[in-house]
Amino acid sequence: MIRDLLTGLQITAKYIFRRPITFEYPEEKPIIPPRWRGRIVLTSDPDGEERCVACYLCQAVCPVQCIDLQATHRPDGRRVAAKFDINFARCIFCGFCEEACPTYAIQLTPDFEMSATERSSLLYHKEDLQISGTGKHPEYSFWKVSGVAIGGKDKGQGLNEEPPTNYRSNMP
Amino acid sequence: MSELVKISIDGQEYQVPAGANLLQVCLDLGLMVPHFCYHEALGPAGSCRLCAAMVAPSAEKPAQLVMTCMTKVSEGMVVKIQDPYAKDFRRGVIEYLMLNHPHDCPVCDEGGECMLQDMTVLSEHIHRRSRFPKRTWRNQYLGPLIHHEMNRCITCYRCVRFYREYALGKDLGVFGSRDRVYFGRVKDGVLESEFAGNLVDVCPTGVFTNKRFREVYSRPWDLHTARAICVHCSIGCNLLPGGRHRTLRRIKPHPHKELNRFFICDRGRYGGEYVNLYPRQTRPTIAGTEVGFREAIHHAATQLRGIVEQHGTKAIVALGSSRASLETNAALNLLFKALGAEPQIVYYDSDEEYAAVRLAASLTTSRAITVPTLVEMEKCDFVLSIGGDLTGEAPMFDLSVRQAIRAGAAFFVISPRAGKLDEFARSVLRVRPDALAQAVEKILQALSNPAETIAPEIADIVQALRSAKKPLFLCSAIHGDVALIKATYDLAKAAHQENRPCFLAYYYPAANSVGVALANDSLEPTKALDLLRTGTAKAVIAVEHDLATFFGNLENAKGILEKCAFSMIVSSVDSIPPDMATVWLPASPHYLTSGKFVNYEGRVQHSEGLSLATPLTDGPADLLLSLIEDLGKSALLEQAQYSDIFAVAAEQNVELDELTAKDGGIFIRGQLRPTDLMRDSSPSLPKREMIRWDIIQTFGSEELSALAPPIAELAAPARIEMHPDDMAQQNIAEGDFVPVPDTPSMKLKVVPNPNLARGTFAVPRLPAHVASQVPVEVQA
Repeated sequence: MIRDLLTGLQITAKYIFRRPITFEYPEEKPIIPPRWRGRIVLTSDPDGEERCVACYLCQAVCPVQCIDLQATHRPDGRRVAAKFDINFARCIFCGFCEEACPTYAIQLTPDFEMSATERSSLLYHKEDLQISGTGKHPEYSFWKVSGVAIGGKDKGQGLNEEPPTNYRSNMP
Repeated sequence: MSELVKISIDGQEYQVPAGANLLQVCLDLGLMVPHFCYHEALGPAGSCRLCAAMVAPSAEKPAQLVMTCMTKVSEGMVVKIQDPYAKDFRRGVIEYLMLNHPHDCPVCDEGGECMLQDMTVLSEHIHRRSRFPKRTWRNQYLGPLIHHEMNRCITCYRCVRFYREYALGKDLGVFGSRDRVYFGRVKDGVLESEFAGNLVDVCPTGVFTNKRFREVYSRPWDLHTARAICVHCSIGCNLLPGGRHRTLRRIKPHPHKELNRFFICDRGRYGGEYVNLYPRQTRPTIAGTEVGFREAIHHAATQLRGIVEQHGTKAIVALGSSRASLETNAALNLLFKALGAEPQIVYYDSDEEYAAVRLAASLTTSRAITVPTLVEMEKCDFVLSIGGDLTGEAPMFDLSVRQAIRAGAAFFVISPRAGKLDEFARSVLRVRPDALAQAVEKILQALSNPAETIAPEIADIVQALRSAKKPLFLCSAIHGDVALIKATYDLAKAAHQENRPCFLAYYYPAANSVGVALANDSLEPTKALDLLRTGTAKAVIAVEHDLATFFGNLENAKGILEKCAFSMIVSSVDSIPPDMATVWLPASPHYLTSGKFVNYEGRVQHSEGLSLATPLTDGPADLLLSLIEDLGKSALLEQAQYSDIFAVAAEQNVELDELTAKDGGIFIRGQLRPTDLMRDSSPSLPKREMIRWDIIQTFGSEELSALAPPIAELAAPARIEMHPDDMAQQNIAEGDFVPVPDTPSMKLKVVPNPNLARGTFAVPRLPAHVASQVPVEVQA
């Protein structure tokens, strides 16, 4: 019996002199890999305009239906979300929305600290989600490659586009 | 059925009708052959080259690559859709089609129901290899209904084939050559055709999209849909309204194999937007004070019961509605029974309308005439349109007649005012509104007495009618001309021969005109007015009926309501201010409530309601039923039968009860005897020098759709049209203001119209809520 007791104490003594594997969170922050799937943000174009074109693909792919949005038009012709809600109480951070997004607007960030004492505070609206940076894919701008004319980009001024065709001309 | 032949497709044997289109055969069998330019209604064009497959005339002969849409099936044919050579060819074709297609899908309204997306995936084209710059186009403004985004075009020619060949429109065309082919108008402007909205469905990609839906866009997979019946005319087209959150977003046609097989008119497609304009007062009121539904209903029940006890069983007059469902009107009838009162319900706005609609409906539902479906109309070889403008009064008749005209039918018109179809007519008989019946009688006389010399103006008609194999008569029951309805019936009966079926269709003012015409307790409008004016009736109930229209204008309505001890309005739209009535019960509108409607053929169809998170949940029928329950007469509801309320065959009760939206409708067997109605038809009006004719406009004349913003935008301005000779005779110059006949308080600008019968003032029919906003020139 004493032998067993000593064996136990020996193990305890061994661990007393080892470095602990836990750390003092929240004083000490963990190192999160850049591709961690945490809090969702809506990023902006390189020129600072919002990237989201309200195409509904994130809403369609979301397995828990935590995204609800409504499309509208800005006066300059850009399609934007009139409303973009993510219910983080329901979100499972699967990252499907980021994968489905054709404009790299919706992105998951390494931020995981979003606990709340009230469910309603976990419903994030567009203004809570929108950030001014581009996040990943810093050069990409959807409106430059799309064929739709918007304020500041007329037909034929997009990337790799010919000027508008004159079908009334007979010139070859 | 034509004979069947045996063909083999991808190793499977199938029995298919001989001579059928190979592509259609494959699609019907559920074998998806990629295609663009082929459309079931428009036929093949062979221009997109996508539907290629390897086809051999028989197993022994070598197979070659053919366009399936241009091939007819024959005995022993061997088809290989999945042949590697054909697949490779299709992949190449789609790669070329996609060469200039913009990177628009995320912001394109077609996404989710885009044929180009589907076909690209189906043809296994994945990557754009071309690095050349993409061709671009300028868009055009095409009016408030359609958005143009020409960059997305893949030149399948479907739009012009629909617009020019099918709908016989003129102002959309194709310009340019080679890789510079442009589809649009010569100049920016509103598309003229009333069927332009179908371009949205016809276009396989996003060149033409719904401009109204674009403003409140949702992907199609997010829309809640229901199978509804159109409420904007008497044809009863099947629709698929889609809604999300709290609003109706768009309406698409739902194919019905005998009615709207592919297309609908723009009034049906865009008119439903009125649903989103709820009554401004969405809470019930008692004398202007907001209360709960239960309280308002209880108050109404108590008041009505008190009135019956105090003033007897004839003290209540109700206004039913020919644009509300059978259920709503039945509930109104049951309310009278629950109160122990005599049902005094009026459904119409004038005695003429009452007589005309009831006679036409009795002829239709008693099967005294053979009423054609829209599809049957397309196959007629003689069409005579009598007494109305098809384009405005029954738009889909117009489209069907256009198909008959395309197939070579002889088309004739007898009407007081030129319509859009007149340009296709072999001859047009322009007659005064009060001489329409005489003109038809003249044809009848000429037809039945071959010996007599025929008057030159009708000679063409009589001759064509004699040689026709499938004659069709279309007659308006909207203008309240009983004599015309009877004359047309006589003509159709005379033209009917055993070896030659003869079709006759009347068209009506509202979606359920035929249904309410069968109501047993229907009061003539003037009788109801007398009861209210003299004070015999102490209470008035209006259900889905605009009181301002019924009483002429808002002031009259106000005067009558003030006189009554009790008044109640149940309505899904703003008609008159709620505080004018004792009790105001706002109801959920059509498309959000279910109900049965009887169309021009006497076909009863069930319309499903969308379930949206709207501020109002109960339809007018539900509100009336709650009222009956509040009276403690729930037992009445269980015993209620259709045949007690409407003149229908008693054995149809069960059939009607079990009818669902999926059935395509059943034909009602009406028990109204046309002969009874012909006898008491009112005598003709005294001859007047100038007579009024109501212009029924496609956009703006129908009560509900006129509320929808895009329809209101397209409505022509209010005016009085006169023949230039009449104007000269009466010393009226263009632009003068002239009092509207029958509504002298209103003065409108005169516009000369040489295509109007002499002696006629033509005035657009406007719903009361629109008419009240027309700027009125006041006499100095």
